[in-house]
Amino acid sequence: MAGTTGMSRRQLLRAAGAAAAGAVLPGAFAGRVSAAEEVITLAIAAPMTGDSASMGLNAQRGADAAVAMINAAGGIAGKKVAYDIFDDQGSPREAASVARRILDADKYAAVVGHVNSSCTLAAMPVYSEAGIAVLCGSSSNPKVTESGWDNIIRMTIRDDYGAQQYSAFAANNLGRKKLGILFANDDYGRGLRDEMVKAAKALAADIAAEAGFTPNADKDFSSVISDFKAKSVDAFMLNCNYTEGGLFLGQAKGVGVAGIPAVGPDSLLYDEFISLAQGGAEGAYILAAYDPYSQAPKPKAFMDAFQKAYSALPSQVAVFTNDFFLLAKQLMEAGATPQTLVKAAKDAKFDGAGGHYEWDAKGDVKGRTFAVVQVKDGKFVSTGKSVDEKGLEKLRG
Amino acid sequence: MAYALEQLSNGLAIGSIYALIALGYSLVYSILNLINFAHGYVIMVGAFVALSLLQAGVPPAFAVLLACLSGVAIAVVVERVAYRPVRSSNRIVPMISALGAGFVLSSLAQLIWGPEVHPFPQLIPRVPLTVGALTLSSQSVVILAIAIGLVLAASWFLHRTKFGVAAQCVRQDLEAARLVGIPVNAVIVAIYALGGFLGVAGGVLFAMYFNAVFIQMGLLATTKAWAAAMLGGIGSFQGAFWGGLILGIAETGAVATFGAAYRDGVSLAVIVLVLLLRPNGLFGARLAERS
Repeated sequence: MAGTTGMSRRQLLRAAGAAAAGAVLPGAFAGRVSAAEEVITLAIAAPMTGDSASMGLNAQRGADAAVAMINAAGGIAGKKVAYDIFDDQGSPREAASVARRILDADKYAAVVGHVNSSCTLAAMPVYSEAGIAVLCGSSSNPKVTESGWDNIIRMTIRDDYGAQQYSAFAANNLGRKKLGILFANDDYGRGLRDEMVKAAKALAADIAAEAGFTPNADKDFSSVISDFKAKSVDAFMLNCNYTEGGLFLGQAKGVGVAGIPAVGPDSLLYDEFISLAQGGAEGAYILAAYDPYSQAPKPKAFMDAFQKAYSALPSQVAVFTNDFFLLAKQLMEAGATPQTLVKAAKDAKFDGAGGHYEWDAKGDVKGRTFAVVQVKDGKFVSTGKSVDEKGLEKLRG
Repeated sequence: MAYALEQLSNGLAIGSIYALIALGYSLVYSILNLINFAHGYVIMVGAFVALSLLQAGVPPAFAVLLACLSGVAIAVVVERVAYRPVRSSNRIVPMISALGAGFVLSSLAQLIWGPEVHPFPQLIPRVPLTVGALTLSSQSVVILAIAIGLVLAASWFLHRTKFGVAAQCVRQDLEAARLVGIPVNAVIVAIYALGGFLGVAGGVLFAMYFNAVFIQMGLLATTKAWAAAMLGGIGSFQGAFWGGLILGIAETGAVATFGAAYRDGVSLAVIVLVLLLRPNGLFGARLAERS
């Protein structure tokens, strides 16, 4: 295992190095992509190795799908589209150096990435110096768009708004008032938890109980379940990954705690969530940044093609990467240049595989709420519901 | 009140699993003074074997028995390959060798079964048992019963049989035992085998109670076994059992009182306290440290 990832990383670095070297010469004459060039190249910055390497793989697959589709339909205004991948290894330090390499190559119309918020935050100062367009899919930390950079837009729903929507769904849609929060005891999990608590207060719901666990280490939730039960929690807020979420619901079912709806983020949207819960996940609600089970034509076509090519469900990274390529096509065909891409996006309306997008002045998606997926008969199904955000306005000023 | 009793039952269930795992660990330590870092990994592989057999359609009771026997086989192989050649070396050497054996087992398991968490079938039905205001999981009750049964059986085996007496002799003085004609190697192998058997039994209960088998379970089991054995008095047989139970109850108490993040902190604090006040653990006072 370690050997093969080491290999692929070396190969990747070599490929990236070669790409950078090859780009220097033409770059000296042409500057950034101009109308005279034959190919429009985008840079993808994502973790191809390391703990989050599966996200990088998804980014690559999403890009492949988009490039194939765009080039088959004649490219962008007659020019072919291509991409190069830069591996940030999911580490902020590497991300900053990737950013330098992308700018030094001087041939990319835009950067698609990074995936991890910490990487995006580390690389953005470099990108913003040069003003290159950054199309960021999955970095959900509020700081990504709150730091004053004007060359970035993102697709996912930011953590603070997302966390508020979990509470709103439980309180408004399900009418639950005594929430029990299970959260991963790390920066990300605690950040979400704080916002969920704030939103619950605003919605007059009570956090009856909460429990933080050590991610990837704790597997025994029996005492947490006894605690939630004793405090008559009427909704489980599962702020965690599918492993812990599934185990929690399975163990709850084992002591007869049933009929309490669970609400969680799209990190639960894996088949393993259902199998680990061994029947306990039935009826659980998952709020996802895009709806993989939507029957609308664009998402469905993408989903079917992806399933067929890789026999796997595309993660949001794949969908967002795909959509950014299509967005670039739409905007550039309408006359945007690499320099004006982000500004044009903020004025545009766009429909992609992940649904409808519009962006506000900061670069956050506007008016987008989570798709609600539910577990029914041991399978994920789209409910077509959306989160009732009534009462959240006062938090957003 | 019902709440406290429910938490106590959670603690007893997880504690009796720790106890079973700690027994095998403590057995090996008492005979050889070897900190058997591979023990948890043997258990993890055993649990995966049980999972594979069950998936292949082997009847549950038979599958669990076979898995326990696979634990015996792995423990024996590990003893032969990693421990026996270095048994008379400096104490550090077998310890490192044990650690190495653990890593090999964990990598092998990852190659075969992959790094994901696998769901484990529920062999003991999980039905809620309601007694008055109290709701217990049927599983925790059965797990406690199985643990007590296995501990009693192993205890009888070690104290009332000829083999058990031989093991006690080896424990007191390995060289003297050899001189009076006790087949020392056979006894040691048998101790490892017994440890592997009990360990995998604990591992299967562990997997079933948590719904999950996963690679990191090996390290987790080693750590908990080590902690339980230290708590009870390392090398003491009853000590490992009570140490496991107390560790389970302390952990559950910590989660219920302070929150899940304090699980390991509080249980380790209990161990430090016990060792400060009773350096030989709760039940280890009778045994003088053998050098």
